[in-house]
Amino acid sequence: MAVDELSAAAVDALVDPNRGRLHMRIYTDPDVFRAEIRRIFNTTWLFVAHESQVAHAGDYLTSYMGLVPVVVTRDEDGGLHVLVNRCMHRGATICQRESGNASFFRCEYHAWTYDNRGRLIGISRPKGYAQQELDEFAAGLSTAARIASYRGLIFASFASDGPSLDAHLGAAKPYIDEWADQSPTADVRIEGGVWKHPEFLHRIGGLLRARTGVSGLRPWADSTANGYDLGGGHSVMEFPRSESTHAPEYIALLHERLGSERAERALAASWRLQLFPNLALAPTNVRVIRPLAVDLTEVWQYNVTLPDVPQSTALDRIRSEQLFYGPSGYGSPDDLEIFERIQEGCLAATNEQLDPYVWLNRGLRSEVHRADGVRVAHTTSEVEQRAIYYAWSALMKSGAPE
Amino acid sequence: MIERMHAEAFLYREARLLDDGDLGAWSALLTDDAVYWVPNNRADVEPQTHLSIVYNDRRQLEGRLWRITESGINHSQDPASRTVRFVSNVEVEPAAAAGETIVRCTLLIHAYRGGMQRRDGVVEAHAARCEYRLREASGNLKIAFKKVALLEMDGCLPPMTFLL
Repeated sequence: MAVDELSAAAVDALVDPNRGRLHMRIYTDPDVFRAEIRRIFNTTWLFVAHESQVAHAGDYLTSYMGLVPVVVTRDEDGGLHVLVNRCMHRGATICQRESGNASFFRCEYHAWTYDNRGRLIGISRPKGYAQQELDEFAAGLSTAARIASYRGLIFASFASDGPSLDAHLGAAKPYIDEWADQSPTADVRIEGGVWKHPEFLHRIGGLLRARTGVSGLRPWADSTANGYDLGGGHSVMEFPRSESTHAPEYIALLHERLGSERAERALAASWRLQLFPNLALAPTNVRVIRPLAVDLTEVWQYNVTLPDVPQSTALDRIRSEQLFYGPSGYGSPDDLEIFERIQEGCLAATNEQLDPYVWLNRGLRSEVHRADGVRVAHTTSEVEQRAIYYAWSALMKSGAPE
Repeated sequence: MIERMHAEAFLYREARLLDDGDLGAWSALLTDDAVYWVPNNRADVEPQTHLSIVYNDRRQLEGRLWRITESGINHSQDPASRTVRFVSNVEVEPAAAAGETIVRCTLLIHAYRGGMQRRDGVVEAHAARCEYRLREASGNLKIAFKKVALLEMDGCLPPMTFLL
């Protein structure tokens, strides 16, 4: 990887918050992508798994933190670990599967074996090593520097210092609370399928939704949905809260467990939350975003299951989910098509004589700045998209060379 | 139960209608209670509790056809995919209900979107194992159930908004 030399002034030239515009280089320049990986994905909190995906001792799930392959494990005492999926000897991955249950991971090259806490517990033919040579590997597998959970969502960071997860999530937490409160038994699970999409657009966090085309505006123009910049790069599109149309027995179950106020909030939750930089949450789905290259992103969209809701509620959720999302849904494929077109159009950025901007300035001057720092505007404004780039710019500048 | 040759002729005709883009004629091949299923992740999951790529009843299918042919907002089919499909390995077996036949086959679809400024378009190839339940009613054979289990159903899938 080349030395990351993007200066703070260069970052300022990429994001112009006063006019609400981005330089297309963000979508085309591999140097910008490298800087983004180093200064954002290699330092900030990243979603790595939901507790239900590693519920039992020995459960593991492979994932990525930025470009780095990791294994999220649950040890025999219930502790969580985020291990870099790389043998310390010659660098081969030690775990090949999406998920499973294992107490040990063995590199198949020279049979170096690690436990699910990352400790090196055996190598083949150890007599060939002097003790001093073996001591090089005493630390075991590389790991994330910090792991923390909030309401079942597990995050990790490669930076040992920095804001706590609590501070990072900030104003997004009440939405996560509602998401976790959906279950009558506090049992929200990521299970029941995953769609895997390649997206030919470098979307930071996959979060820049291309709501600028005709079909992008039409469904929302008459809605009273609002967009919120929650700070820290997080944003939410929130539909008006209305009377619950859920099955009566589900409503009753939730009231019983949570009391009326919390239950009503969870039942009326109708929003799309975007957590900078690699997670999007909705009541029925979780999207995990993996950057691959400046023009390529992969998104895994998981189903969210509530095991203890009435069958009719469960069926409604999955039916409406798959009607809209997925590779053959009524919504997602058409969004992806537009993203590809943006990626193609951004090739104009390779000619400096041309206007190089993508604009996110709709509603910039009319958005409301609340006392708590949250910015609010109608969702057809681009307040949610701007939110991402305020945080992007700040992190890219703080990581810039002097 | 119908003969294999009869089933083959039916499947070839269905493939031709889909390759021709004659979705109205294709729709007429469906029973009113037809289900069209493209499972996700694994072929043996329960579609009531596991996400599908497509799990449509007849009414939802009509909506899907409207999206493709009339809505004007089906960007991922603008321009439309041209397809050529190959049907083979056809086998028939009795179904539980009288007048119905289970038909299994393998399917290879090549899809291409031509006439675009983008020059990097590739021919997509999708292989699948299919299962049909065909029903004979008043001399006509109709599709009561169609399941298309894609080879790459647990992989990264591109948008697939044409009918499989």
